[in-house]
Amino acid sequence: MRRIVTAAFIIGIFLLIISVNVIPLETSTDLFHYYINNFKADTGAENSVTAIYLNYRLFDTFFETLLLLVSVIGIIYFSRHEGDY
Amino acid sequence: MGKHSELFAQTMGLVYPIIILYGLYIIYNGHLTPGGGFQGGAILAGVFTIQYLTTDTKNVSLDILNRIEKTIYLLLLLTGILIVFYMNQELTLIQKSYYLLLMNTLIGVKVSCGLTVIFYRFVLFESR
Amino acid sequence: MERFFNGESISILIFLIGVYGLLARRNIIKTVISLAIMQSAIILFFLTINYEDGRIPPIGDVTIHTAVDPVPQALMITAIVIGVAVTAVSLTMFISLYHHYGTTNWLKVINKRRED
Repeated sequence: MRRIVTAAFIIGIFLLIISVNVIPLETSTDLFHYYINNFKADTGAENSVTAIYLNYRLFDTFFETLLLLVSVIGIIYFSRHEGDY
Repeated sequence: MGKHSELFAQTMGLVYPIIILYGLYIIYNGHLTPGGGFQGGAILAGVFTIQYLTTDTKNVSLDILNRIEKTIYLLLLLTGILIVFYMNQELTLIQKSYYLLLMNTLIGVKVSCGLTVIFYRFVLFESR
Repeated sequence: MERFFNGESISILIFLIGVYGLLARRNIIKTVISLAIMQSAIILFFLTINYEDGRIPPIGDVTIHTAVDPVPQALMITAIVIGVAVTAVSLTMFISLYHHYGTTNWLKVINKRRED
């Protein structure tokens, strides 16, 4: 019963969201144009995704790898019981 | 884990040099083709999984792997900040692409060490 | 019909499936799976934000009229790695919890914790 009510609720929310006449999202294209026009001259990369995550947005990569490192340390210490390694 | 299938062990022994080559290819071409450090590192971590599944080794030293990972993270910070924030204007395009190669290699080794540690911790859980 | 089968609608649908899994199921493993489903919905949403038909990947000699937007792709690499980290840590916490309480149900865990 609880599952059926929840499913009906979720379907209702979905229909509600879909039926709204959405105005297309007005995304800014300045950044896109700048990256596409300049990434080769700026970074020497052929792949613009690599150019973005290793040169333009380097802090993003730094904190992402830091998060992976912290999660590995967390896993090591969460999974340690009563003296076994 | 109990016995291992001989067929599986032989096949994986043939396949896993190819997996290493594929992972290195993805890392070293990260700035030219789709791919990069994270993706190649994840593929390289698969080698350790195969090693566990075929030979049942448990003597991989997770402490050393974790220490390598921390050291490489510090190297990564040092290289990135030094080159991008202080020397970015003076470098030529070739030198910049070598920088991308270096960063991809460091990230790949770091990610593969991290995923290996995660996998072996889960395996140690299973054996208890 | 075009309006309903774009990336935004599908990703909202997948996200709500994840919300259903969080609300209706009381299994801890299924909660973790629902979090992963919601995360992939968000990745799909971001990847299709600026997409038009016939665009090519932003690699090599491209112009602004032929290539897709590389910014969401670079951000979603981060999101994928964060998803892996979150899933791994929550599964480890679940294994610890299971060794301690011996159940996979949220309500039973709460009851046993109250008894202690």
